[in-house]
Amino acid sequence: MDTAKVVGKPAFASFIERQAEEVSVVAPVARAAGEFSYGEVQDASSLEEEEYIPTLSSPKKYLLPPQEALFRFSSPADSAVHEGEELEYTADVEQKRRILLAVRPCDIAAIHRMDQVFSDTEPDPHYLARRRAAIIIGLDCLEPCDELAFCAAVGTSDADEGFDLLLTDLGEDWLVRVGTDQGAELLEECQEIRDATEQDLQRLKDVVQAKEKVFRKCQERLDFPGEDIPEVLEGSEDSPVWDEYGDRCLGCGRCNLVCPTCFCFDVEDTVSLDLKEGERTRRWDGCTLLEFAAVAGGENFRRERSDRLRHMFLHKGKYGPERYGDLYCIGCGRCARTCLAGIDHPEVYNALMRHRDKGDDHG
Amino acid sequence: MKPRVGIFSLSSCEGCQLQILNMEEELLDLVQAIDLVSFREAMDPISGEYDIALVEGAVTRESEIPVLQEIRRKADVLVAMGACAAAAGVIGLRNLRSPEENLRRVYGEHPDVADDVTVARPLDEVVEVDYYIRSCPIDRDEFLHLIKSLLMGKEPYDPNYPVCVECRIDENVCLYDLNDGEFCQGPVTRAGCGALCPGFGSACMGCRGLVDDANVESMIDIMVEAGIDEREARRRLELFHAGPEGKKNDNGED
Ligand code: SF4
Ligand code: SF4
Ligand code: SF4
Ligand code: SF4
Repeated sequence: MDTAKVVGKPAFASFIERQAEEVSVVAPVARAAGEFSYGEVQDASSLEEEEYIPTLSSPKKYLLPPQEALFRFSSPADSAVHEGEELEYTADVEQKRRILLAVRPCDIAAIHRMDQVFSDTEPDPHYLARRRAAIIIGLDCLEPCDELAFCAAVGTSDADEGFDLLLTDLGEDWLVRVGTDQGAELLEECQEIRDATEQDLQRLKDVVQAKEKVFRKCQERLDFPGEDIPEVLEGSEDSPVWDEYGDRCLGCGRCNLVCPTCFCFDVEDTVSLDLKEGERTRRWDGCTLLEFAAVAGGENFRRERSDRLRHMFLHKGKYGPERYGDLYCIGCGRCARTCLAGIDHPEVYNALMRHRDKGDDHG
Repeated sequence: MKPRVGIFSLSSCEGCQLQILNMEEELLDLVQAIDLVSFREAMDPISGEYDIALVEGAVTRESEIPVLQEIRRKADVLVAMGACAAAAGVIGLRNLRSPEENLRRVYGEHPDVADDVTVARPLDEVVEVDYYIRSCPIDRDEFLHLIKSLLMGKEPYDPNYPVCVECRIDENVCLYDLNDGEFCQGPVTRAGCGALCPGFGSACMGCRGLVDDANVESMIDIMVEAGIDEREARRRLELFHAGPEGKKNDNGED
């Protein structure tokens, strides 16, 4: 196992406070109605939050902001940008050092998936620059956050990688697992920290073992093992389940927008009123929205809400695993928490499974 | 050559024209980019010829029909500006009762003072409309976006996704989670406003009109579950786009 350290909670809190004076530290902050959002913090109190549920937006927003300028363009001559002259391009890539604090195991798994996507084929300079400048200090969950989470069913309730540091609550102390050199280096600035002893590691083991029992209900939200999701989706294209849920679905995109692994965006060029300069921006998009699959000429490949909803499930549960080997749903339950039509992903998977068993998908 | 632009008004509060006048910072750049030939709120008309017509207001009188048709005939591009022009807007509410009943209620003994009143109609029920600027009143940035797009010969972008998209991006706590009696129409209303009302804690009232594939029945279920009765939920959904269609719900009650 990676190296482990132990530090008293007050000492770790002062370490975070000192960091916050130097760099941006972001962590879940309580909002109205029991909700949380990631925001700038000055201290480590987020680590002690007992009523935590996954944040409205995931920490993804610090790596892929909802809207960002990709580059600017200007016309060197006295012509307008659309008149065919050679344009000049400039781009700013943001590299602000930032500590993402109290990132839960599900969101750590989500960031890992985003890394896969944005390093694939055309590596994305904006995402990767932000990612390189980010330090992830994870926080292990010792119990499920609420009844909508199903991380344990899709294997993301424990984090083994994807963090720089990972904290586990040992009562008075934090046990700190070090995942990267960057994490180790950062810890050098933390005072009163010591190597974990055999005894500490035994305590960690006990805590991790206890998790299994506490997370059983969370795991059982799915009637079958999470790794079978691709297989359950295989051949489900014509399942009546999609129409049933599609009737209720508002096609509102909320589930996509809150999802920590949705990475789709739309691009738009905007120009100044004299038409001599402008910028290209991208902003989050979502496949449950009507115009997501619309193309030039007016064709729309997924006009029906049920088709769009199905696409979201297929991407999370089938296309993602086929391409990258990982489920692209990490079980945070954000989609169900935000969905006004009460569409809950494990419930849909279970319904697909039941229909498949009845054999009514294949005539 | 700069395009000649005319700004016209049918039945409305003229608040959309005011929004244009209020663009103090951009107004000078704007008149560099286009030739304003008609703009009642600001000047006497310079010319009766124009390339682009921006029309605010709904059609509510017979006499407005030929006026609008004439504008359509002259303009290469006709833009419906604001909720009244795009969807009949608040004026469309009168369609919930018959024209005769409305006249009786407003003018009592003298209903003949407005003798050519019809149902309220958005422009595209009378003439072909090329583009829309939505909202009550219009947003200045969207107005500028439309002008710039037309100058470049590009389709202006008109969001067809719901307000919830912008509201989730802003990470507002959803009004349905706050549960304090706001029956937000954000899930079925066109975005583009930056979720202005929900951002200030007030329900979206739908001033930008419905998204193209709005699941109205599901929206009603959600509003009813949040504690409003079904009839009231339907009425609220019609506030800004009752159009002539709204008439079918006429039941003579208040
Ligand atoms: S599943 Fe729910 S959140 Fe997603 S688009 Fe449909 S109604 Fe909106
Ligand atoms: S689920 Fe839809 S919006 Fe999300 S990443 Fe996949 S295609 Fe994109
Ligand atoms: S699909 Fe839902 S549960 Fe899965 S990662 Fe996205 S928001 Fe979380
Ligand atoms: S407050 Fe309204 S606009 Fe915002 S997410 Fe909720 S329903 Fe949508």
